[in-house]
Amino acid sequence: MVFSDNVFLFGFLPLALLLYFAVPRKFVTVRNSVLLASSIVFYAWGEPFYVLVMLGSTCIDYFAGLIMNRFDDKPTARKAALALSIVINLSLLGLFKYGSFVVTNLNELLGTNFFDPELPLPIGISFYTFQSMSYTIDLYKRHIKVQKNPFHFAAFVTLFPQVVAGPIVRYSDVAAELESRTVTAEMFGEGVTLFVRGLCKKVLIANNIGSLWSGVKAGGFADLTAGSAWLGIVAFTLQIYFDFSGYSDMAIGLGKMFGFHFPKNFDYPYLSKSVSEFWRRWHMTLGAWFKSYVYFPLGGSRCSTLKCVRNLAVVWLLTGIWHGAAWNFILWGCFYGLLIIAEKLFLGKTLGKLPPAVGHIYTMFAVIMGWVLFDTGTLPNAAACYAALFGANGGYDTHTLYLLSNYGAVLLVAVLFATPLWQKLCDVIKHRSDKAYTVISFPVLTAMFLLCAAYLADATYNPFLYFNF
Amino acid sequence: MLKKLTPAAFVALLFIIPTLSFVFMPDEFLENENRYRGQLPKLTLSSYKDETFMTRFTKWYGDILFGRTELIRFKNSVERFSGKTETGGVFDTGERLAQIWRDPDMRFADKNIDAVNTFAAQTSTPVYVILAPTSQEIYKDELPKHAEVTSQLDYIDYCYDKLSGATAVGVADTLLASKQDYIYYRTDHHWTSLGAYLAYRDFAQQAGFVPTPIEQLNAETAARDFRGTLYSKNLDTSIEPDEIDFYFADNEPPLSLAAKDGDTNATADSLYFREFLSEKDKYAAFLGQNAPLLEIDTGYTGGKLLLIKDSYANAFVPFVTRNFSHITVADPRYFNLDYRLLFNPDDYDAVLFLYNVVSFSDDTGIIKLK
Repeated sequence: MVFSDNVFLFGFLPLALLLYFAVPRKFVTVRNSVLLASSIVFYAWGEPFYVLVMLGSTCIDYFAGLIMNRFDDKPTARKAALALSIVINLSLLGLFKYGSFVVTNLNELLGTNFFDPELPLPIGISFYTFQSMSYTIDLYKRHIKVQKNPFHFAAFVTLFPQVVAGPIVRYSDVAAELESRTVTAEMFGEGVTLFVRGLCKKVLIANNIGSLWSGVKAGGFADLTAGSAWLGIVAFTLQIYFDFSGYSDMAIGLGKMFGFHFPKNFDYPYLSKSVSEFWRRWHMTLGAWFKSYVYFPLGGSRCSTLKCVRNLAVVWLLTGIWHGAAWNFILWGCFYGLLIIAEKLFLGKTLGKLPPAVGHIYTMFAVIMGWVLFDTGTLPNAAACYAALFGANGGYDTHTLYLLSNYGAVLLVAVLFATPLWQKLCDVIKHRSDKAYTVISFPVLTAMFLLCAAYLADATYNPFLYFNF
Repeated sequence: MLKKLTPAAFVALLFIIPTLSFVFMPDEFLENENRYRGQLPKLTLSSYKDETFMTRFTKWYGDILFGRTELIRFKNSVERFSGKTETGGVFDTGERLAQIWRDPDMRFADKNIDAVNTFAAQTSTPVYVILAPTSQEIYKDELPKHAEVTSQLDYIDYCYDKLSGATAVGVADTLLASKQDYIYYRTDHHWTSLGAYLAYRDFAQQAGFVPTPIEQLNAETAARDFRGTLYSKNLDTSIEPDEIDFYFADNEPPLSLAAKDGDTNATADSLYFREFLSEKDKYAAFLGQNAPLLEIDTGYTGGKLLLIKDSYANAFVPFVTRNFSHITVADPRYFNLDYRLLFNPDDYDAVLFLYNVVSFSDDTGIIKLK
């Protein structure tokens, strides 16, 4: 199930809230069981079969935790339990996400004929395996306490707000809240505001400009003019931000409605003045995960320059691979790795001396070039798209004007909301008068929510035009 | 207290909308969309495993959602306001709606023309072809700025050039010359009776018979509140509803119409089916519901006409009755038999293929005639 759907909004969510709040606060295990059951329904709605993979991975990490706790004074046993958890999680990820990619490339390279099972990618597997591993690793490092209550632990891994697309919530983020939490009216209100904001980002902006880029892509890059190509890639740049950060907002908002504080995942990334800064503001929980569990264990930057470069290279290769099993994602990760290494070595210092505008332009340019690689599927396609962007097929045509007149307004709104201007305006009003803020935000949020509902309703509207042939 | 306003409204909507949806469950038939609404599926192991339960449930729930039509109309007006020139998949000029047609697959054109040519080669009866432009072409200059459309005139020329053994009847020029008249519906994808009449005159000229002058026909406005298929798509109520006009001559002889629709053989004594005037799809008042084959004894004297057609012909037939004693109307979309079992083109004095460009560019069933 996805959040931007009638069944979720007007079926699943009210029922889940009703059941959850029907249970008195002191029965945390029951409340967590309600959450667990809702989350299983939520997940199984989209993955009726592979829900078992998620539950299996949950069981293994739960028992790995128990083993580590039971053999607290036996380092070998603890190590074995951790190894079991990591090997199984990474194998699941490897099998489902990278199996086909590895087999096809091996077959091509060696001329072999290994069998490709062509397994589908279970929804959210990249997210929940990372979340679940954070528990066993942190437990091994004795950063957290064991979770003996299976309902608490399973509720953490499967929690429907974030199971499908993050943010990547670490066990340590919610350990205390799993055992005891309260939802105040204020917190619930913040959750609603965040959820509606995320829904607007996804439904009103991302989906809308998404059709610009998908239209451009469908037409092919062979005779695409530079004007149309730039409109298309700018649309995608905005689409992926609003889509992903909208989803994170909705997840964090839903978390608040159920009493959880999830970590922030986006912080106006397109304001960055360097690529390193961009990645500190984009999908922040993924960056933090790699930092904690890969970069720092390798030595981070507190070692020789050469080693630090190696560490960065490893992290960025993995970041690329994490995004998808295809060469363009790997290349995309390497592209960022190179830029970040360059920034660490010399580029960062140079940028620091130049006016901030240079940093902004450089970062946006790099990011947009990166998105081409990210979303054109194959390398020849990416090459054709770059050619179009740099004028191989002329400047602009009537198609460009058509795109501009149809999408100009939405693009403008999107650019505006990719900056913190709106948030700042809200803060100023709130600061002046809380009452005024509520009086203004109430009708705005309600109207926006209804508009989202209208867009969702349209998704199923399907008049059969040719009924009179 | 005030602070709780937003969350309270949100939660209230989460519960009110589903409740209202169940209380005011819509009819089984969604008139605006001309289809039956989804049904609540049964949860079984197999419908769970192959996910049909989930997709059907989603469809059903979307269909019964309270205020669905109003919400979509709201959404479309916000989109128009934001500068979108295509809402609900149609052009909206503020005055009229037009069906969007662009980038046709020319292989369909080639296949259809080939089928017409083959058909014409197998009979000695003269074969005529009318490809009618739709309102997108006629009102091209009213379309939104930078609207992307394919030229239907070029498409018609392309097809007419490839005809062999069949005579092309150009109707686009006449229609273009009369664009200030009410020749296309504002809210439907068809032409009006008057538009069909203009094409009838062009056909008469090519086929060598004298068309009934419009002055000798009496127009009756049978309905004034027709909102057609294009309205159904974008739900813009600000577009003026259409009229349905019926044309009659004085002292018409009795006519008989027989629909050959598999087992049922309905008959009627008029080409106008007034029962449809009170329904949503009022264009169905012309010739009634779709049938694979209609046999019409016009009561007039004259030859026999075989009309192979799409729905554009439904408004056309009421004019051509005065020039033929018998008309066979065949819609290849709806028959799956070898056409030779249904009619023999050699028995007729003229064969007319009448299609609009949009339907001709798609799969029309014409290839079944090969």
